[in-house]
Amino acid sequence: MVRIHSVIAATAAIMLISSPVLAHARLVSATPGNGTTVTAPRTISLTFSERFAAPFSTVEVEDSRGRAISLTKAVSEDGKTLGGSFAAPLTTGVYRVTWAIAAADGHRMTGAHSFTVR
Amino acid sequence: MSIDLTVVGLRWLQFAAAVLAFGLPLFQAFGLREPGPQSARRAAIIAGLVLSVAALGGLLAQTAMMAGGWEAGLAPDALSYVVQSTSLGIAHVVRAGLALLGVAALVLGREQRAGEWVAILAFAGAVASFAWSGHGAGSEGSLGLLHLAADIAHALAAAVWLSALVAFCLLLIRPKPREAAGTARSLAGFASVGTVAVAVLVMTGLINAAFLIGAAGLDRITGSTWGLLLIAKLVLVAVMVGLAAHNRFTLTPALSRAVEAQTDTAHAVRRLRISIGLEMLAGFSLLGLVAAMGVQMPPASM
Repeated sequence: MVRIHSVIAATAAIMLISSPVLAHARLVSATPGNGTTVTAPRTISLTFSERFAAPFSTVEVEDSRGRAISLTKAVSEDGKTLGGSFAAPLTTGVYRVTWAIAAADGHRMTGAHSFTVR
Repeated sequence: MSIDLTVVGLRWLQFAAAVLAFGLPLFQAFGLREPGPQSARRAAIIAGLVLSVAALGGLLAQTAMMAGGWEAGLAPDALSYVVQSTSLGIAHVVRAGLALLGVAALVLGREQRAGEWVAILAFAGAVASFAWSGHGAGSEGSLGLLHLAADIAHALAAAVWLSALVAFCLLLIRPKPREAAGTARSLAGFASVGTVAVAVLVMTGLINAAFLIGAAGLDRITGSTWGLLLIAKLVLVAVMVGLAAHNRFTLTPALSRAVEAQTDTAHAVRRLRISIGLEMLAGFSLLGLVAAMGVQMPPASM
């Protein structure tokens, strides 16, 4: 019985301290962020909590008419930030960012958000 | 065909095949006093072959899942990236290789103890490799090793339990009256192994839950698909433990008494066959739930 109690106690202790270490990538920050208004951005960046598989990551930006804006994709050295740079600064309007990444554990995640350029 | 569904289906097939490939030779070596049925050996060889093919299929499907489509996933570049740069990819290749090694050992080392041992160890490695293609390898830091070890022990204990059920079903499906005594002894002998397996499953299951749910994730269990699958899994575990207890404390003693009294064992054997068959069915359904849990987000990662 003592052993069972120690196992339960040890498990409870692990439970209390373990939750933040599970390696699933999630979006931590985006620039420009969702719903923000910015002036003539030349780049966008999306930072995730964990490294992701660079070859399977995509980021696309389209304007309010649904036209894709040409961008050059880049992944940071630490493998956590997905970025894109535009050939020219974005002009006034509402833009939508859609992204997809695959975490190293096989999970694919997608997301989208919008920002305004004035 | 849906990629997610294919990944889940191939994960289930790999689990089921690995359980049989690892567990049946193990049962033959330790669970029986007399040489076991040839059907168990043949089943282990077929399961090993299925495991190696399913592992390679699983690698393709998992790559397609990561790449976001079949076409992108089947590209040589994508596959070579997953095999070389992700533990998930390496685990699938190693699993397929170990499964083939196990099959070769069973075929070439026929009737030899060494061949049997190589096969058991190779298939045990294949079972352990599941820890790297599920959530077991997802935890980082010094506690990550504990999660990985718990996941490996969980998979091995589950394989021992489930494969014994299959082996007993093979023994009970076409029972010969003169073998009833041996079957009764094996069933009684498995009681302690089964209890240890259940204890290991409970302990390692709690450790895994600690990592995958965490204190903060407890209130998200019922709100997530992963959590609902876990609840369904626990219900099946409770059913299996209930049936196991019924087999151990009621049905096996009844068979032993019939054997000792040299009366007809057919009735006791039939009841055991139904009960163990149901327990096995619950076990393989449970593997399906675990296969689905692997593609869902656990609460700790939300």
